[in-house]
Amino acid sequence: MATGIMSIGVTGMQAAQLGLMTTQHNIANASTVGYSRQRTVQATNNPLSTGSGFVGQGVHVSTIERMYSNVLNTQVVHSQASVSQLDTYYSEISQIDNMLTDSSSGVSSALSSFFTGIQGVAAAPKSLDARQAMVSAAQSLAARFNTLSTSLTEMADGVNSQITSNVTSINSYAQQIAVLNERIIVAQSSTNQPANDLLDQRDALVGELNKLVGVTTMTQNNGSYTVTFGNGQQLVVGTSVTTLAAVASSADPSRTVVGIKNGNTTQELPESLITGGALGGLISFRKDALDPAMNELGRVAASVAQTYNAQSALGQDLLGNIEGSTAFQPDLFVINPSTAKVIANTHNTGTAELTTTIDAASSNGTNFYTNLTASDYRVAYDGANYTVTRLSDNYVWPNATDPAVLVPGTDFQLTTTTTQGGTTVVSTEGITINLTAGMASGDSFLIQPTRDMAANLKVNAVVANDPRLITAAAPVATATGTTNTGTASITAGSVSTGYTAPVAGSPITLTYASASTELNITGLADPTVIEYTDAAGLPATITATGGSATIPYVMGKAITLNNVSFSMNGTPADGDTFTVSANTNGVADSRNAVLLGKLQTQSTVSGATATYAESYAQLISDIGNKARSADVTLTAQQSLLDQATAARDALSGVNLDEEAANLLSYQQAYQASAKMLQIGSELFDTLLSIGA
Amino acid sequence: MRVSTSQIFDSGTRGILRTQSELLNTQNHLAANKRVLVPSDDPVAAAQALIVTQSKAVNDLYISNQSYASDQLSLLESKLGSAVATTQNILATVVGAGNGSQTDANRKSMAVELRQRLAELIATANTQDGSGNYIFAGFQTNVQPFVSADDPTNASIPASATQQSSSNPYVTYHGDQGVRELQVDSSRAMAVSESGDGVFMRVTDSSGALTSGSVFDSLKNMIDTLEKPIATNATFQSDYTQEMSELQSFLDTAGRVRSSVGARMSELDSLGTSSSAVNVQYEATLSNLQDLDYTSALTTLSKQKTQLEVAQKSFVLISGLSLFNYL
Repeated sequence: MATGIMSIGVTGMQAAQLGLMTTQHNIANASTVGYSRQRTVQATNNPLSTGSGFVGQGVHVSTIERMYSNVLNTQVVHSQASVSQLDTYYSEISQIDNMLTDSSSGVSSALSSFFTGIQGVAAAPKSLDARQAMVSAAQSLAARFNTLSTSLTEMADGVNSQITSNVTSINSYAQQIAVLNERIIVAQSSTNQPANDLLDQRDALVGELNKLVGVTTMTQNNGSYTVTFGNGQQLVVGTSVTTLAAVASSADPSRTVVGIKNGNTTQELPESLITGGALGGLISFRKDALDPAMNELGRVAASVAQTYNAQSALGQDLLGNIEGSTAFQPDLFVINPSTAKVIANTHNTGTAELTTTIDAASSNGTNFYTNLTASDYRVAYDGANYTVTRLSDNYVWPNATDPAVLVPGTDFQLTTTTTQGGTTVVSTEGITINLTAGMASGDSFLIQPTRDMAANLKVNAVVANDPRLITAAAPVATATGTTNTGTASITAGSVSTGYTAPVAGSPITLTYASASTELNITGLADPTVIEYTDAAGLPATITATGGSATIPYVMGKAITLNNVSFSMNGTPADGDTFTVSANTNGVADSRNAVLLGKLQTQSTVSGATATYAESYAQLISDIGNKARSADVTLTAQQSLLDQATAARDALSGVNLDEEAANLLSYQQAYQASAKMLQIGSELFDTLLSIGA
Repeated sequence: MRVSTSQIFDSGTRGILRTQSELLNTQNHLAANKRVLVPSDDPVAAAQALIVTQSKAVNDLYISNQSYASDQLSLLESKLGSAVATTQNILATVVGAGNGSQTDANRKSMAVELRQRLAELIATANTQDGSGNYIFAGFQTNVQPFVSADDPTNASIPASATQQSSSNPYVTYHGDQGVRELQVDSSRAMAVSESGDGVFMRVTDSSGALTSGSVFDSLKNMIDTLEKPIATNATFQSDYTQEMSELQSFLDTAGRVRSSVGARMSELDSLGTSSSAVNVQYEATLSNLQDLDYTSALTTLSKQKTQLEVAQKSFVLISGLSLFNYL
């Protein structure tokens, strides 16, 4: 009898002791990351069957369980993956966000200063001070583009190195998870009890892994985790690990991408597979924000340079040089190299080479503009067909509306055909590509038309050293004959691309004959294309040879001689003369500077749809919007994570007050069981005293 | 709900951190007096502010061009005024020369005075601005535009045998007919110079007919006429009449040019007023887009301060509670 009491008391003490130890373990791990509180599960021992019925035999601890919910934990790690992705994305994009608008680093203020410089020259074209100030403003503008571009390139380098270090950490976590898998399999199969602390450690590692890249786990029958990412790429299966590698992209070696190591080779993973975590944040930042920002900045830089230079070419400098003169320097800005950045895929096996030409600025009769887009392009060959893809929206040439096919050895200008209000509009992409023969199936080229333009923009050193070469004047001058008796006057005259100006000292003379109401033109270059309005009011074109021609006099209508245009107003008298001559010594003429200044407010970018400033503002608002939306989403995701964490902690977290109460309760249970032993012992003593 | 101890600490810390970061943000906006510090604060406003800033810069350029144009036109106006005044003096001097009561000696002394006036008129036509540019030379402002055959003040120059005219000019023009223009408003390029050719060389009368030569030719002819003894000069009367009328024509021509310059100056005045008004408008727009509403920012600041204090106090209070204190 007494032994029975003793043994039941011992089972109670043992159970209470385990309870106390578990409570102590909980208290000790109250702030351990990933720890789930544990508790003992007690059960009655098998009763002893006697004639009097079943006699209870005390208690035992059937298991020590951790308070854990797979659902709650999965919610936490998945929210964590989103938060880490957005956090990384936001901290990267907010750097650009600050940089672009800052008045000391952004382009806007430098652009304004440059045009103030041009207006200074327009007001005082003969002043070398004004010209020097304009050159300096152009240099600061170029420097601003260079600096911004350098900062963006540094950010791209930073993204590359962060991808590399993230991949290293991912491999390390994957390795540790595989090791834990092994230990858990061994531990659980030998005891048939859950290896609580190992399981917690593994879950904590999965949590850390999710901060780097979004992964999904699946528990196998033996207790091991299978960890996958992307659309099912296996990272950890049982005890084996797939090693990731950060490698230079074959399409663009300046970009670090994630690949899977397979023996000695590495297979690149598409960027779309990497989502969640810091790695997902870095990759989407590079694709959505950094690349477009660099391209757009380059596009503004290229547009400023191209349109300025094109208008500048229609001018005359302070020394009297015009297009065709040896010393003429129409380009204030130089972009070197002037071609698009072309990257041959490192896996190419063919011998083809691809060259590009950035199309010259177009003119719509009012001003020059560029057609460049901010997109990159890919040229690919599948063994039968050549395709060109605009990567911003995956528009592919050839297609139904633009059936032109890329033919090796022939210039291929990228154009798109759209229908606007019933009329067909063909717009170009501002770039012409030329592919030599020899492309192998599967080869590809990446074209980045404007990526490096902002970095490569410089001020022409020749003009910088001699600001007299700024082309403030127009290359032609007109005059009304000094002995004219009629009231007719001639307009100042303007030129367009491809013009031929009269040679100095040999003006073109237009003499009015009242009998026939015609103008006899002499001193023309041979040949001269004359565009004018005929007596019936219709546009007409003739080609004059031999240096002279006769056209009707139509008041107020433009006359164009080899792209030199002017018109006459008023009533001339018989024999009245008008001359169009070289603008000899026209040092105070600022007609071209006025036109250059107007570029600031004209639509010069994106197929004449936006000004420089609007184009840049678009970039800023785009980045700002993305940063803002990342910030807003981050806040929302953070609160989801907080909620998920609260839900998990409510179940799994240690509450010290609760543990204190448990301590008391187990202590009392122990004391009560111990009292049982004392009673058993006293009963035994009673028996012994009877025997004595 | 069951609450774990770490939740109490975590959520307390998180609350304090979040409120602190919001406080810092409000303080940054207050310190810069800007509603939009980075584009993400308000992307639309940031982009619009950029465009308005550029429009304002362009408008400032127009304002500075207007003031430059105004300086140029003032100089032009004053020099045309001098030329008109000189010519009026000449006419006043010679008005009685055709009168029979005047002696040859009287007319010769008039001629001496007229030589001074001729030099004066040439000097006016050769006016240079502060930077040394000849204002009546068209585009060729670095060459002296009006050059006479000799120094007209020299009294020993004999009277010309032949009449001065555009085919035999006394003063030749070396500039061109270029007219300099400045962009003084988005849609207005204003002429800020007058070619000397149109003012002094191509003189037209009130009906628009050209005279036979420049104002200098007319004046030189007048001097020649006055210097010849009247007894041997059969054409004195007709020459004198024609020269008087040509000088009168120059007054018409110069007056017309001067009134056109005056009209441009008054146009500049009204353009200046409207440009300033536009500037004020741009500033107001920019202020609306970017500037901070102090009242609401300060209210937010004080609200966040209270929040932070409450979060800190409650954290200390709650985290101090533990059953272990009583064991």
